[in-house]
Amino acid sequence: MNGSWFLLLLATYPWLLVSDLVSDVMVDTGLVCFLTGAAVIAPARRLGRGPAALFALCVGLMFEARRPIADGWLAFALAFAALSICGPQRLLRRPAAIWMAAIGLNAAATAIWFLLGGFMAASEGSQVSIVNGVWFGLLQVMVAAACAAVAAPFMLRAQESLMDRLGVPEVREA
Amino acid sequence: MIREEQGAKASYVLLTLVFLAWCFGPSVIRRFTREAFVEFQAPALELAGRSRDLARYWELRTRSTEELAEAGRDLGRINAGLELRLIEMKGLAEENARLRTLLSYGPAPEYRTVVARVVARDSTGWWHRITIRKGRTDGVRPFSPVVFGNQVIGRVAQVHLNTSDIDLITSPGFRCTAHLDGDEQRRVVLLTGTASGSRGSALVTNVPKDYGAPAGQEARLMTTGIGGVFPAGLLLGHVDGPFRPTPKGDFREAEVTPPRALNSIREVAVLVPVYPTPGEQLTESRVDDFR
Repeated sequence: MNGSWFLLLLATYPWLLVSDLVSDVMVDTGLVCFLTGAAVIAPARRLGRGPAALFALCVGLMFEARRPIADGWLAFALAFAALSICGPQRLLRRPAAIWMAAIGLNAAATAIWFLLGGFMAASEGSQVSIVNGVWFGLLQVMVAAACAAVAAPFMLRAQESLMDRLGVPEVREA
Repeated sequence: MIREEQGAKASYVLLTLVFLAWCFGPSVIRRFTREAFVEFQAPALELAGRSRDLARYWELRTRSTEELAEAGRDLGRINAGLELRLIEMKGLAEENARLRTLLSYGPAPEYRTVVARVVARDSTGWWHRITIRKGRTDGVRPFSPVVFGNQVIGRVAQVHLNTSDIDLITSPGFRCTAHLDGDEQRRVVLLTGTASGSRGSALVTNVPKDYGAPAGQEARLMTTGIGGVFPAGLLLGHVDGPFRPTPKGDFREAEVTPPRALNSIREVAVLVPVYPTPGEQLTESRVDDFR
């Protein structure tokens, strides 16, 4: 296991920072520009299982660190997702498929952190409105999917070009 | 092919084991990991905050000299008024200290003010938080009140090396006792943040049925000072909308609007208690007992 996953993590962080800054601008809407899920796809396609899982763990923990979410749940969910992507690598060869996978994983990860956030709010003894939660959760998932749809092509291209420079082999035939 | 499948299975098993170790292992590991990832992100957030300040600085530089002179004049007038208030306050503080000595009361809670710039905001249906550019190295402590002028903004949730996370008063974890304007009996009500959707709101509960808001104005909520966390007399918000009966008990509740647009705030002041708060004393004594 070489350090390419860590260099990839450092190169991906600016994208995540920009998504945080966009969330800051959108703060009045109460919606978050979430890109963490989409960031996992390209490394999981080309890196081995171990580095891909480590990358996904770190990216997930980075999102969780500043937010009141149960420690590690999103990160491990992303790591399991990364492992499952490492299996059918040959299915993720076409750019359209990669793009769709990025949108899908980003939306799924959003659903996970939103549920975890609701759980934490309820565990603090707050009155949680389930109707509002479901409605707002759906809206957040759609926003996350839209964010991934817009930003993922650029982020994936940047990640792919870095992996090319680092000499990470292309997707193997299964 | 078989080796590949075995390798895949082994990696799933290994990750599951790591996950179980993470969940049931000592909490210090989780805390350390969280702190490490916060510190990893802190310099970038600080840089983003400083560049925003720089942009604001250059924006202000475009103002004309006349505008600046006018603002300076206004500030001068306000300063003159505040100087008079300071003299009055000094006299009141001395009188208060004398009365406390006469009645054998303990010392009034004292706070050190740490002014901090907001570097990031984070808001969802479940939490409303801001991150400020002051942390442990500046003496910020967890659960310290965060204010802007005489208005409560929130409470310090987590303190890191150079940054701190603040739970705004609309965040679900926020709780504070309050007095309502116009209640001559000074009964204590409870303010809690609610997790009810995008726009942050708070709820005042335990409002007595016979309470009537002052005619022609919104009822204000002020801190009580009970519990020693928030100083007394700070503004928590205004009651927004009618009081409705609570499902349990003989009380009423109502929505509360925060005193400021919390999402646009740029600078706050953290009131760090000079002496350990009752909560900190309790925690310290528990740690000593454990030792």
